[in-house]
Amino acid sequence: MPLNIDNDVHRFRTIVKGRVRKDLRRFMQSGELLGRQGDRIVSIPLPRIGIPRFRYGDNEQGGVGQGDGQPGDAADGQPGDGQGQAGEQPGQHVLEAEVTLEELAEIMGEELALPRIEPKGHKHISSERDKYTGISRVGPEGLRHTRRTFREALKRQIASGTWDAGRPRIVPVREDKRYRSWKTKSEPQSSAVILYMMDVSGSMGREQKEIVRLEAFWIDTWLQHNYDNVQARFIIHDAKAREVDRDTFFRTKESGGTLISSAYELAWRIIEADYPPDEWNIYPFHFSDGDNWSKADTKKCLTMLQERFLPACNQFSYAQVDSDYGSGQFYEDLSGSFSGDERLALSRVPDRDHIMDSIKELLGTGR
Amino acid sequence: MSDLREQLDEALARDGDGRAELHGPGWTAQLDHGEAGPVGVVVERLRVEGRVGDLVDRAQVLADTLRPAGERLQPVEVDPALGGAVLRTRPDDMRGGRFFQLEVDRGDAELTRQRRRAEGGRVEEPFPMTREELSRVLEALGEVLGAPEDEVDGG
Amino acid sequence: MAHESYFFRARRGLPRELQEAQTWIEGIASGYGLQFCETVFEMCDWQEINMLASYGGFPTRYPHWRWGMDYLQMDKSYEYGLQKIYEMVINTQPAYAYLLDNNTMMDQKLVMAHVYGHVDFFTNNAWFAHTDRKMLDRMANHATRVRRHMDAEGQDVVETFIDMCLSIENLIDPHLPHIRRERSESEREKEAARRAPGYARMPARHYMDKYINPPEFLEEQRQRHQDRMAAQARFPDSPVRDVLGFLLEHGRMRPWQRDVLSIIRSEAYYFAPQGQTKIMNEGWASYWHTTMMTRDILTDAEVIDYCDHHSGTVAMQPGRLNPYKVGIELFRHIEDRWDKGRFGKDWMDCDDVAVKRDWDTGAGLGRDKIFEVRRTHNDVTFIDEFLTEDFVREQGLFTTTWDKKAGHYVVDSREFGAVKQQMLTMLASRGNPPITVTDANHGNRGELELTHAHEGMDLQLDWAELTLGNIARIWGRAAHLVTTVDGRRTVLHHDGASFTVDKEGKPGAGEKQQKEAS
Repeated sequence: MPLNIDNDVHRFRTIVKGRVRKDLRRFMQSGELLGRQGDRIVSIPLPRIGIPRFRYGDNEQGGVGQGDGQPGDAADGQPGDGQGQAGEQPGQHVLEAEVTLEELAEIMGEELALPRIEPKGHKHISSERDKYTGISRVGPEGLRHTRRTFREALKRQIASGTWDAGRPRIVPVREDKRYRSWKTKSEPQSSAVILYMMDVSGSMGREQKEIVRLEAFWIDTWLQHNYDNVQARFIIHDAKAREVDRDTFFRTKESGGTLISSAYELAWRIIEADYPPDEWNIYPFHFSDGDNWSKADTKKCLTMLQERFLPACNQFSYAQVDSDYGSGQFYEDLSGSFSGDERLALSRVPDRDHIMDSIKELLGTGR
Repeated sequence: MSDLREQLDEALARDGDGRAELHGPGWTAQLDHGEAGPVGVVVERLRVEGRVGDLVDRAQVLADTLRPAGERLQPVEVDPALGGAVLRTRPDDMRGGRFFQLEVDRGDAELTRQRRRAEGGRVEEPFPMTREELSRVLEALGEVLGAPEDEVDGG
Repeated sequence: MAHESYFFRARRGLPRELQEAQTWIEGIASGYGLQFCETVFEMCDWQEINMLASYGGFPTRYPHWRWGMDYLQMDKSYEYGLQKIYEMVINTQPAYAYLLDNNTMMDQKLVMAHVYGHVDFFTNNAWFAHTDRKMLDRMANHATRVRRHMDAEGQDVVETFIDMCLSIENLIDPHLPHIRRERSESEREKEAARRAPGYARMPARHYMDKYINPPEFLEEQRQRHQDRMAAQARFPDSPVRDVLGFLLEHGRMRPWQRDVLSIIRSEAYYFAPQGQTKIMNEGWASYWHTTMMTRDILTDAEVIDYCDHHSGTVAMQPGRLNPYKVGIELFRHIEDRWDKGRFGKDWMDCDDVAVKRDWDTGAGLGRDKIFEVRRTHNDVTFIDEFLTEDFVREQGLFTTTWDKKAGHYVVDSREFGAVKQQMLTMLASRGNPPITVTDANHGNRGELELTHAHEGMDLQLDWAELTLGNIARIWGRAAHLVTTVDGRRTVLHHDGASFTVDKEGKPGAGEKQQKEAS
């Protein structure tokens, strides 16, 4: 039921999103959002959105309490009446607002000018049951899911700047329309798999792995926003590769040398076993410091890319992170061999400050 | 003046194409260099070929004993299966993003100077060294790499 | 009635059972002597209650993000206890109160009884005598005016100005019994000569300006005016607590800004008495709902359930001061004393503990006394006059203080004088430092000087910087705040763009902090 306050709520959320947008680079490189994820929600710390006023400093004012207790015992302190404002956490002046992962993805998409991905061809997952589930963009008018449709229209209008909170009018256009959809054998539902690969050899330090972790969060957010159904698989490698779970992926350190081909081989086996390219949108992401063991091994990798990955995947992405020692040759080898090939996205990440630029390089192709 | 130093001076005096060759017990070396003055020489690459030995031990011994230009080295990657290791200057001893890199492969090792680039990546750079210092480095490398498998010790 | 349209499109009357309950409870309340205007109960769902709470009890307010923020925060921590009822009765005529639709019947009756206590308080307490009971209409009018300005000037511009005004909405005079009505235009013009640093600028179209008012002429005028002002007595001649009012009268603002500031000010004054009587008002309403529920409303069977269920509301939270608890207990304490004649010279002079313990003259004046008190007092005078050593001891009250090492508050003292002093300090300021305008022509440059009457508590400096910046921008010239920090006299300066701090008051001496305004 619409309330008078809906406009004010919307206005506040717009301001919050504006803050996120303005500080996106900082959020991307500090990772402070990663710890604040719920299921579909991210908590944004907003240190300066409260309204300032003349007030006493924290802990300047004593208080009055009631109950048992000797002098010196702890008392639950809230000194005076009216010291706190709604929205403040006790003891701090950092407000938190919430943004859905979807909104975060939208902000990211707008700030980085990322084109929406058009899922290709007939990639779908088939299912035996007929059931109203999920929402799809096409369908007969009788099944139009009105609230979703209006929400899509609203999002679109806000995004394009045509929304006027003072004179709210929502006009859905065809692409806004959302329909209740049901799953049948031939009903398309877009699916994607992300194959994360990371070099965990001696030269990849903690900071480098942290950069990968931060980038992975944004990659996940973006791809989840673009596909109905996203899976992720994790491969770590030094001279050998193995599949692990998400936590292990970010925590492991080996000390051996680097054979990048080991990771690519394992990735390909996984694709062959579980993700037929005509049903899945496939996104391998490889992170390394670029020091492959030998030219021979690099050559193996280039061949695999040429003959297997590039033809089968939506996009193969490679990000080379720098350590204290800079980074190695692999980036140059790739860009030399595949110069101009749009199916390969390359990025260098000298340090955290460049995470945002790297994300744009990797996701900015719209593939 | 040590034997090795004399050998170095002679080799530098002899060669005309920027590559000097030296040898010692169990090892030979190629020094690719630029200008060579009376006190120092601009080193591009120093390669020592020796005998196969225990990689893990050698990597540690080299890290402990090799001090090119006073910089301490640390093993970054050590892979007995692949038969090689990479040692680099410890980050604390790095200045201006520059470091020594020693790549060990079976019985051979190659010493170069690298620099980390601000825009990402790294680049190899020639480095000036005194002849005295260079002969000390050669000596240390030769001792470790020239020793056969059962004779490596703490140097 | 016009206000009907402010409420929800699907205006719900109360279900019959509750209508009957209301009539019945109203009768009981009247029977006890409570006097109240017509009271309307609205049935609401949780979202509406949440909205109303965010809006301070009104169904609509001027557009601003702060309401949205409050709504979202409240949504997260749903706690519809009795605490919400305070915000959920508004001081209007007729009074409006809100019932949550999924409460039990017993809860609804309790709420109603409690509400009548509040409405009686609003109706009779002297501090509310000059509040605008037509506030429903006024709030809607305020909203319309703000929207009109937003249409004309742009939402962002107006919203930013509102942000600035809100940051000083606590700079009002808590003792001002009346709101000064807005001056008419002509009256304002008469004041023009006193507007610092106004000088007679001949009205001219801007493109003619430099001919009709050539720079030399203006300079001469300005100099003459400055000489005049310097010769005059200090302006204002005594410190002005109503800073908002002062800015309105003498600040340099565009008409729409003046209008917005006057709205913020009038709403601040409307709500001020509620802040000043919170303990009494809650105590009063709790006293009456307890009395009515246990004596009249509940059946014997229900009483037990009620006591279980509601002991929490007026219970103590360890260490924290619960205004309901203190208020109700103090009223009961007063009633008991006046019933037993424990007042007056004889009582005060008696120092025999045994005599005092058994003192009972059978005066029976308790009820009358508390009715009288609820008419005349506010929280400060309530505590000042009626807080006694006995009461402090019985209630187990203590002062708390911040322990730096431990990083939390600790129990400090149970001594009567200390407790009373602390309570009075807290209530007198309610977290709002006393700040006055002390010079409107500071430095002979028309800059504004304010003074913080330091009472042992330092200001929070980062917020002081931001707030002072807002004042400078509203005033139209630099603003200065004299205060004390760490025991040293300190002056903060803001010219709207940058902020500096002078310790020990000597300009140029001491530490200086140059910062860009945010």
